[in-house]
Amino acid sequence: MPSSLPAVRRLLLTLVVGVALFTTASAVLAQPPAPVRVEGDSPAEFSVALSQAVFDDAGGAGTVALHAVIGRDDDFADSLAAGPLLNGGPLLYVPGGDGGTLPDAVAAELQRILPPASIVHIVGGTAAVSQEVEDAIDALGFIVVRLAGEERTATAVAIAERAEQEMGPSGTVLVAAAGDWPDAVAGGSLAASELLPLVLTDGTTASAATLGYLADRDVEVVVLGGTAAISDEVATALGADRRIEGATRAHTAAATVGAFGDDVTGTSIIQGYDDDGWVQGNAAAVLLQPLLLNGPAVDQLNPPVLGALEGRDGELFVLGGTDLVGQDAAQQADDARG
Amino acid sequence: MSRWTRRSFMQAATAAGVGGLLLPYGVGLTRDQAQAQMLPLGVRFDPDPFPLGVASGDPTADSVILQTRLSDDPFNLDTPWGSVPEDVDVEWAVAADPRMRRVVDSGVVGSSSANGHAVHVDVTGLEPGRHYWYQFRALGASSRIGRTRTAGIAPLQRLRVAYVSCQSFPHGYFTAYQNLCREDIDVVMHLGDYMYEYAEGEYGDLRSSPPVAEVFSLNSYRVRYAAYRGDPWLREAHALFPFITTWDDHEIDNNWAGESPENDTDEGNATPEAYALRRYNAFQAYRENMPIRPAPEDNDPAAPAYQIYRQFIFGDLLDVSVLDTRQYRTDQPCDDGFVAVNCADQADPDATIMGHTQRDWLFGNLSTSTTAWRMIAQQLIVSQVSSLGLETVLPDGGAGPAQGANLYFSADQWDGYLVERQALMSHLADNAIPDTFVITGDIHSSWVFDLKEDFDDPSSATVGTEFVGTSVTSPGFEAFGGNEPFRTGLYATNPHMKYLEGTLKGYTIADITHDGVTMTYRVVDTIEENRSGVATQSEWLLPRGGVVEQVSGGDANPTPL
Repeated sequence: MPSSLPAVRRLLLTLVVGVALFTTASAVLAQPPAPVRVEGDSPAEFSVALSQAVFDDAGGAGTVALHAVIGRDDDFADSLAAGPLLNGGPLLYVPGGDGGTLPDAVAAELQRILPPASIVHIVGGTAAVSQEVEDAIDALGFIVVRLAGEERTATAVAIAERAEQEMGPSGTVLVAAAGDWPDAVAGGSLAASELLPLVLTDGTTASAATLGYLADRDVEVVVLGGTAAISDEVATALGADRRIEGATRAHTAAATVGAFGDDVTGTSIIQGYDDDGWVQGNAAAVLLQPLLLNGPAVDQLNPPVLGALEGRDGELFVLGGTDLVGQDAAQQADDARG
Repeated sequence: MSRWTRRSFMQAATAAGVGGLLLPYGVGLTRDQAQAQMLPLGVRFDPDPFPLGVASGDPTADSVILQTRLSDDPFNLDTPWGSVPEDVDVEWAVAADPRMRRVVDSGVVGSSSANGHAVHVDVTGLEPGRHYWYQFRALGASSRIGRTRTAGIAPLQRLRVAYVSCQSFPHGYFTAYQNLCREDIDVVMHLGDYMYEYAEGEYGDLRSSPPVAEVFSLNSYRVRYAAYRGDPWLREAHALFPFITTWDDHEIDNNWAGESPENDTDEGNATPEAYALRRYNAFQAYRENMPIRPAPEDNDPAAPAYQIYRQFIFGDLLDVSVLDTRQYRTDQPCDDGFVAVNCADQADPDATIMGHTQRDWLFGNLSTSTTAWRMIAQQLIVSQVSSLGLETVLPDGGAGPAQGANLYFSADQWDGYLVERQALMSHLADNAIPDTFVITGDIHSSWVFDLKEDFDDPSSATVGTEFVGTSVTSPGFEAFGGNEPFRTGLYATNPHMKYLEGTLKGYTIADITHDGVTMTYRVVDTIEENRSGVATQSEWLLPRGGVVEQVSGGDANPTPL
């Protein structure tokens, strides 16, 4: 069954959820699909808009969601490893901290996309996503599964174990640095597309939870990023088989492209040098296509992004407003594909 | 002898039930009105035309059954498919990922009102031991996405089986399924009493399950199944896990026995012809609503027949024989007595609970099995349950009609078929068939037994283990005040009985490896509300080549064998 977004739905999105569609009048059928920009005034609004761009209503004829993932909107750590779960549904942000409440827009989106009693994963403990949020989701009639550990690497392991339960075991595990988000968000998109667990580690000391997780599995261990992100000593301790790396974060993200299946022809672009780029980056995994990190310039594409786009004729998503990825950069991306 | 019948036991349980919240389902309502009325009762459907969701089942190493049923008015007794056209092409797809991008097989199958617009697809050519996702599409809409899993092949290190039974909708909410959905499970086995046939108010009154009257007609069975599948927790469990199901009695008629109905007073049992038609209807409805591979090809209104006993192999780890102990049995002896049972007919050599063909098939399965473990998945307690110790419960103080002889708990269980039960025990002993265990439903309570070569001789060989799982909602000993005095009395006269907990609801998980089977009894906090926590009540380890022992939980028989 088709899973790509019908063009007509995209047009509707432009009107309904404020997704800016910037297509050229000269577009012809032979050309790649027009780029789609998804943005929002807050992390929650962005995540809802992205979910609306991907998922039809429950029961609709388009792509429907199996479950959903809830993460805090003020810290990247807990949702950094959520990638593999996003093959089945969106990551939706809620206010972080123990006083957080469930935004109406997120509640409405859960009810729109999910059949009754579907599973909603919460990533992080109650200090990250409050009990009140959990209770509110429970009251909507969904089955809440909270995935949390004592710290971010343990939370990542809990997510990986749940992903394994949900999706089945994988022969490959991705490992990213827990202290920063660029390598992990690129890995998250790969994990979502190829159903790979993604775990985290401290860059200078192999994290105990991650060591324990890997010790129980006979898998290929792929480290994301160079030695500045995860040292050779840590990689060795984790039993790493290889790295996906580049000279910069943008190069590392571009290097993940080759790890996607041949059937994945689309591409996503975010601003990879903004402190809050993780908002778009973590949620972008739901698109199931390579995530490229542009920047730091807003209005032009950096060389790794330009190079990675060549020949990629599938859907192009630009995530974030023009203050993050400018209109000129988006146009360059559209041109670079052809 | 006092004639305690199982039905009187159940009616007493109803009288002692939680009650008070019944909202009668009215007739002549629009669908929206009916749904609004059912919402407080925990019923919410999926979007049309797939309101009953999706299900998968009967996994083999390379195939699985997918099931759904189209309708836009599932409580309509005249046309339970509503306004769905006479014939519909239903698309189906199976994918290697939840997003359904990587489709590995797809096709189109027809549905029609003749079969209630039920759809079954036997998907073949799949890889062993892996997850797949599936979806149906029809009439411009799509179903929810279901997940399933094929059986593993050798070498298979581990298998996690959950089993459930006895889910009386009127007695409570299916919070067992709410919690089961969070578990890490490979396959769910349903041991029967998936639905109950009674009229409203006859058995449980917490929530009503349309239609109002007892079900006899094909459409009334269809509507009743729709009420049960209206429970979102159950529907999500079907969407998450492959099921292997068998029926017990209530899918047809309380304590039916082959061609013998429970009574001849109910409308559907009044004549042999009426009862035959009822069984035909029930068999057809069961097939339509379950993700089960066998088709009722031989089912006929004049001569109902539907073979559902079948075998499953999980690599080199587990060999499962799923039984039907209702369709082929002779009538219950001793007037289908309960609690105090003793009559000569129990020892009738011609009496059978399996029928000879099924018995030969089971014995063959057991004799030729090469897997680490053999599981018999069936309905009724196999082990002997002597009720001689229930002095304070029995009407005559426990002496029974035959001094010095045994007194049994239920003629409906294998205790009513002593010769055939002994044949099974002897078959296991004589052929030195190792590492065999039975999983059982029916009795709405949790039990653990050693299976004995001779139940009247505690020193005889232990030839297997029986684990009886509690109900999802149906009432047990709590209707009579709790575990006591039953537990103490039964422990005293049944040294092979290692555990009884009679009041709690939930599900049971068998975690199976080559070294042992860990059986975990999971119980919910409540069925009177639509949300519940869950806890482990008791855990048991059956080591390979050994005898079962309790790992945690307490309340075990203090003087077991």
